[in-house]
Amino acid sequence: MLVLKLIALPLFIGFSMLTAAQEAESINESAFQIDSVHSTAIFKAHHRGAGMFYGRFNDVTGTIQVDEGIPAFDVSIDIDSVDTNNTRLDGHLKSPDFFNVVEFPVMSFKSSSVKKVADENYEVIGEITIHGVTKPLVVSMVKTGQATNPRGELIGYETEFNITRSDFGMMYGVEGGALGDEIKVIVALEAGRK
Amino acid sequence: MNPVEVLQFVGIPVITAAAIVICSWWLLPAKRLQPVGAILAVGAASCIAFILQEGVPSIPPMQKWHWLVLTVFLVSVLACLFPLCRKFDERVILQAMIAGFIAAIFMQFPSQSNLFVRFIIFLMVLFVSIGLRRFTIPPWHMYVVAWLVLAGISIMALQSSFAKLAFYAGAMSAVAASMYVLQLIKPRETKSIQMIFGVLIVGCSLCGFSYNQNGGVFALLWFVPMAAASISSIAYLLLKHHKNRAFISLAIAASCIAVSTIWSILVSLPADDMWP
Repeated sequence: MLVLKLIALPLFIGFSMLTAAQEAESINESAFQIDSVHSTAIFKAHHRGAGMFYGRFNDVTGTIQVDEGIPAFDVSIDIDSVDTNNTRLDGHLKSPDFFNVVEFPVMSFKSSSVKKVADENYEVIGEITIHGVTKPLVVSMVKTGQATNPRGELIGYETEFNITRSDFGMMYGVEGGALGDEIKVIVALEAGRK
Repeated sequence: MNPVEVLQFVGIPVITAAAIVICSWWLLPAKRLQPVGAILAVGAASCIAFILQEGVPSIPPMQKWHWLVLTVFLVSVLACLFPLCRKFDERVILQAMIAGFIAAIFMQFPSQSNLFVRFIIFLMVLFVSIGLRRFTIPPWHMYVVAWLVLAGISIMALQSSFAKLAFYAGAMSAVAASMYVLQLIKPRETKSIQMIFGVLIVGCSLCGFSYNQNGGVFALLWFVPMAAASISSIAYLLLKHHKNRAFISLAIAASCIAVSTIWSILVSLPADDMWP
């Protein structure tokens, strides 16, 4: 009897662990993976108090976990993918004057709570990390659509918000008014799951 | 970059350094204490040049390149103590070794953390510091070489899109120039100052090198200004019977700087669209 218990116990524990791992995997599978090709992060800044200067990040990745219609976001943006259509400007943005891509290669946003405020409109509270500095951020996220195609299920969200770059230790050109402190950011996400 | 910014980021450190040195002419007349004025001037100018751009650095700093100014500050504080100790004030090699040791420990730029690289940093500071000032090399020569080398690094930093380093190195270059002028007006004892300029030159070069990720400047060029300081002093010592040895050695340093800066300008893309 004792021998039977000794064999059964490890088997039971092993089976429980396997089931838990499968459950975790299925939760992970239910998350939408952000499609970096069809997702965009655009920013604009005031240049020398005159024109508006636009740039974008080409590599947006992460997951959107939708639970009972309420999304949770975990988004990462590769700083090295900054694109202003000018190599020199890209290089300057990657330098320690701005993003310091060598030390802080990724900026990220992770939601902590999401509230539905209207039809397809959510108030997302989370933390944004830029340049090694983490700050709380509240954004209004709009669900732009949901579709099913032969390759799986797709979902889209979009948000617009402002950040003050000096709050994140990016002071270059603020004092002299060369480049505005307030940066408008538009993030459009498309994510899919099979 | 506009003239107001240049005046602010370069002018204020230079004025501060010059004011401290001029005050020290009256406040520290004793020969043994004379270097303290210039050490304080360079150390304070370094802090001001940095703070004007980045604010007061935290410890540990938010960004690794901030270790540069913290290391310079630490070496400046130590350099102030040497003239006060009679046993150590003339031991140039020992001072250079201490500066190299501090730099190897504190200058933690990206991808420069392993033991071998730290040993190389130690050697670089050792050679540059000794090269800048032996007792056979006059103080004005050290100031001119530091002026040229830091100016070269400043131009290269600008080519690699690292404007803050360009302003910092440019400000310290201008400080070295002002020290040279003040040294001509009133020659003073300058023991131990080579430690600070040695750390500044090696630190600015390695900082530019480690953040030069977009290939704005050919990587090896960052080491040319550092080598210029040592080659110049070797030339000065080798040509000891030559009438114009000071000019020849400075010309060698200037040629090295010219090669590295012109090369960095030629290989980089046109800067017409550069902002701010």
